[in-house]
Amino acid sequence: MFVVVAILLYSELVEVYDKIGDTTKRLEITEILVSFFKRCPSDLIGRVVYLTQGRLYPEFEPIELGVAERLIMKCISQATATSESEVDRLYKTLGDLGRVAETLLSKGKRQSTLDSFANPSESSKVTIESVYSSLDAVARSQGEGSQERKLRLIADLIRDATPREALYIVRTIAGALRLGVADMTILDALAITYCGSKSARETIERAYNITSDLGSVATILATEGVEALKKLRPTPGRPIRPMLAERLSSAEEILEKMGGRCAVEYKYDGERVQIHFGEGDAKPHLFSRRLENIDHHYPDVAAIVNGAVASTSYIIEGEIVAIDPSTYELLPFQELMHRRRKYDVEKMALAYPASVRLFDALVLDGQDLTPLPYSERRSRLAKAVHEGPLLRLAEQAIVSDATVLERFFEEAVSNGCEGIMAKSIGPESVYAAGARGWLWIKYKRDYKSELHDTVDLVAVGASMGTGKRAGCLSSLLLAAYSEPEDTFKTVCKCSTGFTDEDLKDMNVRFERYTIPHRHARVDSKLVPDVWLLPSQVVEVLGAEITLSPVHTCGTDAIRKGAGLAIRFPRFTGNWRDDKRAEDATTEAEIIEMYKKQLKKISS
Amino acid sequence: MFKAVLADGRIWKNIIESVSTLVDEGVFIADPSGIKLRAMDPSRVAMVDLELPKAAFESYECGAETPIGVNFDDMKNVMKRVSGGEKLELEKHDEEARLKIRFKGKSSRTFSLSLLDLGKEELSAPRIPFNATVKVPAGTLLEAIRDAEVVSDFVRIVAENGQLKVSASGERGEVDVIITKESGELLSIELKEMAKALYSLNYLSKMMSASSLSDIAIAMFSTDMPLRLEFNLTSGGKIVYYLAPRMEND
Repeated sequence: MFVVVAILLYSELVEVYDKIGDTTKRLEITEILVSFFKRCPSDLIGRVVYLTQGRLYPEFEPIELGVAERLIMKCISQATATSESEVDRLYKTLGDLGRVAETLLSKGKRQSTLDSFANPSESSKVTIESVYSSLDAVARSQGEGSQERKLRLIADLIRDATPREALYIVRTIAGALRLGVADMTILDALAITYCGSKSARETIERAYNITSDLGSVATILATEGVEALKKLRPTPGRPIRPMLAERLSSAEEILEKMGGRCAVEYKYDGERVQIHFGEGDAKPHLFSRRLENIDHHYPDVAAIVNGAVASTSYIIEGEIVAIDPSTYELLPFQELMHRRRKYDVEKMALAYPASVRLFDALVLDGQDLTPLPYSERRSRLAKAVHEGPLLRLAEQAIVSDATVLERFFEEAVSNGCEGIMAKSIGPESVYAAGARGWLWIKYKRDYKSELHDTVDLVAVGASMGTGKRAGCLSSLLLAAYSEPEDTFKTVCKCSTGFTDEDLKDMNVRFERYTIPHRHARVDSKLVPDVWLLPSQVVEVLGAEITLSPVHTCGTDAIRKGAGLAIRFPRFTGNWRDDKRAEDATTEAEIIEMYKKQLKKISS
Repeated sequence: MFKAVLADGRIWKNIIESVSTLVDEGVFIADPSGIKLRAMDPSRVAMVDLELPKAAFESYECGAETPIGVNFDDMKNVMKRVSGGEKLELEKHDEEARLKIRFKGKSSRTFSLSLLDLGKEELSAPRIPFNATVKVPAGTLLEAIRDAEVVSDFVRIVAENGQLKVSASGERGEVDVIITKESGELLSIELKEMAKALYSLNYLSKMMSASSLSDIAIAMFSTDMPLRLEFNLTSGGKIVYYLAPRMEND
């Protein structure tokens, strides 16, 4: 049994944050979390997990803290009795509102309120619970008077906090906690804390993959134990972590991997969506690839799907694509991105109408279909859906011949798709939530051309320019994602392709991601002028991939002691803000691309 | 029905200005004994407590308790129109959500101000023992506050050894103002024990706008406790401010 204390002070969580910030070793982060989780009461663990992720709720909850910088500055100004212009000046110097609050409080600047003297009995102990419930109240307050209410709640929090506590409270409120603790690290720590070892790790990860809610997984684990997690099923309203695909670049290889026969589908150039409908729901709910609720952006999509699926409750998956309403022709992804905005949603829905192409069913009539083979899921989907011009199943063919596959691919590309998805239709082809594997293989147009491969890389560091670019970040150290190690390995430095506008904005864009040392999940031999938290993804066009002694991506994979580098990398102009760092091109893909390229040269 | 007449409209103008520097909205309560207002600034650092008894008015009638919720900016803008020598009449009928503000001089001008339906929040004054009570000419205190503003955003007020010290220090420099009985500026000082506290000049200087309505200011405070600053209005009634301290490093 664990020793459970009645109250956990926020300062104890602050200690954990500080320790995590000090280490560059992932194992140490796990150990730090385990020793804290063990002291954490079981009814608090869920909130602790959310807070550690810099949030209050799972990603799919439509409530967000959403406090504007202006308002936070006002709160700091009030709590520390400092003029707003002084707060503003400090913010410009420090570039981090958390540090502004910390600095001002540590100078002894703290303004009390009359309330604390009118009701002197009220305790002002800052506990994890009190911080969470104040932040929760901030997130939930809306409508008339909400600004004042938020201001008071936040100012009171800062006022009662120690400087170090205020640093993290303000960063959390600003949505900038960024401890960089990976979900996988938290899963490890939960397994060790509650099951004594990583043996239950798989069960816990599966529970996470089908609920997408680390906090609730932690709570169930802590209160009911690992057996209760096994009983979890996909539930409409809770997004499932999407199944991901590996990539290959020839029809032959794909068929070989698939055992000679597979389904191939158009890979639409749109936004992947999970559509949920629960019993009693008035309309379906939409979740993005990143598991955010996107109902607000696509009211027309909910309307298209509503009533067109013959099922009492369901989770189905597809792609939202922009179409030309007069011809129903597919339009590129950029057109659809006009829809991802806060205001004028209805107007944009008319200007850039959307259509849906469905490809999978995970739940139908409340039944969990994820253990079924893909062909079965797809045929049940086909039976349940009434297709119309705006709601269709993804174009599909079953192929066992490379020429046919290649022709299907070319057809997809000429119809405005990115390429195709090959999907296993064997008995093992279950829906593997949250996993990247060879059951699904993407074949994208980009890889056809050895000199024009675009890759999505993560910025992990940046360096200052010289001459005209002096004082400005103008070169990015870019990395690919290593899935097995959960690290980011450098593959090139990119300083071309940026417009003057891009360069001008670069300092501002990366300021908030600057960290004092190499991030624990970054593997690099090079030392840039500044280290960045791996979070920003950029699209880069490379000329070729070569062996490299300085980059860490693909080390030892081709030749002992050598990594791989992308030569002549050029920024394409696309900041991939829609991708998380973990969605970047993987190390394995880079290695694969290198091998492909070699083949072509030698043949 | 509420109706009150002030002999000099500019007094009301000054009162409204002193209140509106701190609070945006508030509810006057008129009852048969006079008008009261208690309001807290939005950040809850300062509070104003106004009392104008029946006797402060040239004539006053009020049958039953009447809440009059106002936006002070709106009322301030109306009051900017008052000229010297004009009388002021305030009038509200029971069923109306408007306050009539009438200036009576060479001519009679009547403004009608929309009233706010503000929920009633019970505000309590700080319940603390005041260890120091100091009486000084309002003008003297105003000058000391202005001196402090030259160098800092904060002022330290210390009462000990029979004298009042107002001092400030900041990046711009330091200032000490000592007010003693000998100089004739310290009218009285009562000390249960010495008291010192820091207060925001931003608030304090706003409060000092009431110094134009009163000859004398009475400051009451204790170490690291709120300040109670009272102005007895020469025209009758009083304005009391409360101000929460800035805490020193603990």
